[in-house]
Amino acid sequence: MADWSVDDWYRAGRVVLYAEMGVAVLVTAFALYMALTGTAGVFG
Amino acid sequence: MTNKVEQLVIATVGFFWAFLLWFSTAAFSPSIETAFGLTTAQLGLLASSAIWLAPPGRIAAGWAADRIGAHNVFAVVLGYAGLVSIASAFADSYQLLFLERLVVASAGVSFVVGIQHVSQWFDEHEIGTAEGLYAGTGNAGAGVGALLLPRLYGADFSTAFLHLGVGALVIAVVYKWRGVPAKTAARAAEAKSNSSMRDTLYVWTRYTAIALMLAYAMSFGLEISMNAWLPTYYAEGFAAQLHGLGFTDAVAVQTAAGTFAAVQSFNASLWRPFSGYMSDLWQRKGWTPYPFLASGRSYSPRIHWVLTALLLVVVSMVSLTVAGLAGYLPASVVVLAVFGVTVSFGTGGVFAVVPLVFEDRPGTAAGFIGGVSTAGGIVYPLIYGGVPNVHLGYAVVGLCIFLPFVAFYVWAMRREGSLASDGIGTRDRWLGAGDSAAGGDD
Repeated sequence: MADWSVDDWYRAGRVVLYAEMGVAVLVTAFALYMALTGTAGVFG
Repeated sequence: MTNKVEQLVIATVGFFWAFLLWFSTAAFSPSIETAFGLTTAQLGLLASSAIWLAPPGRIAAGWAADRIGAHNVFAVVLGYAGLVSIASAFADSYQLLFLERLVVASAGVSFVVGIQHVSQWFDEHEIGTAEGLYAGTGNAGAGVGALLLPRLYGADFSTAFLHLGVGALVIAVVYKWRGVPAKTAARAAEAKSNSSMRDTLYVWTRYTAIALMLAYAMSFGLEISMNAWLPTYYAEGFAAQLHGLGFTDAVAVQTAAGTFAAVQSFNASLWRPFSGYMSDLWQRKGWTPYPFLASGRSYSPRIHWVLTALLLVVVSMVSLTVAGLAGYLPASVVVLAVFGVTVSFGTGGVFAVVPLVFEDRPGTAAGFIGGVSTAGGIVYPLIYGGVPNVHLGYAVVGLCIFLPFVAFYVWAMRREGSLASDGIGTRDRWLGAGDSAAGGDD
């Protein structure tokens, strides 16, 4: 495998970190919905 | 052939699974309580036991990573934890289950091994983002466990422990096969040569190391204390609200409380790479906003970013108490999310600095800072549960413990002096005068 240049990996790393922040926001929204309605636990 | 991205991915997957193993016991606490007829005290013991082995284990694991290579240490940790997790699926008594899960929980020591591994592959200007991606994604294992395991397995914790153990064995084999300890053989040899007892004591006695350890106790120590405590907090502190929302039986309360706990865990974990990125950004821009902190050290902007995080952590602790006393569950969830983000700023910020301050002793330094700080996960829940009102504990910890930690951090980081002289005993005292050329931490 060829080594990535710093810019390439750093750009990809930033995409991953933004995606992870998005997941955290989604989980928060899900929990907030559950706290408000009690019905979000349909998967439980 | 390999490259740094492959090594980062291997370390991250390994740590994610180790964290999943570590906190999978807590995810099934109510089911285990029912299956074995545990008392509240026994359940509390089981929950707290997850952290017991972390402080000494991480110190030893960090040193071992410098000594024999991270890939070897990580494979061993995942291997024994996986085997014992499989055995725990067949435990027929609480005593046996307790002992086996204690061993499985020790998989959490692998954190410092991966920190050392990543630091041996990435360069100074990108280390914050790399360590953040490793640790943040790995930490998410706790949140994934709290959120998904009860939904996937219901009350069947035995099958979950079996599957998690098999997964750990597979990852251990891959880690050993594809893992390479450092970018160059010389770099690996340098870490190995700086892993004596004197090197360890030198690191432990630096004020900068102690300050970063306290900062990590305020962030990661806090994060794991909350992982263990929050399900109990929401089940007790918001019992009436949960009942009113329809969560009445044990499994429903377990699922709801686990979901709220996951808000903290996910935000604290998944914002951590962003914190590492911010540390890199502050370093690139040269931002040093606090006049009372040193600004002349080569890594000073990163030190300033950590202080920002620590101050935000204290504010969010008090806010969590206020939201709890208000008794409004949705407000508590929102504050908890913000709280998790501030915690991530601390965890990501600290380990964006550690490999740079101790570039020749990354494992030993990570073991000390990442290990001793974990004791916070044992101490804080005692305070949360010890105060008269279940909501007050956060403010008590924030104001009575964390503010003195911040004061020490400011005191330790205020001087421009070198690492060699700024500690208990000089570099020469610990390493001898002839080591100054080889050390290079300064």
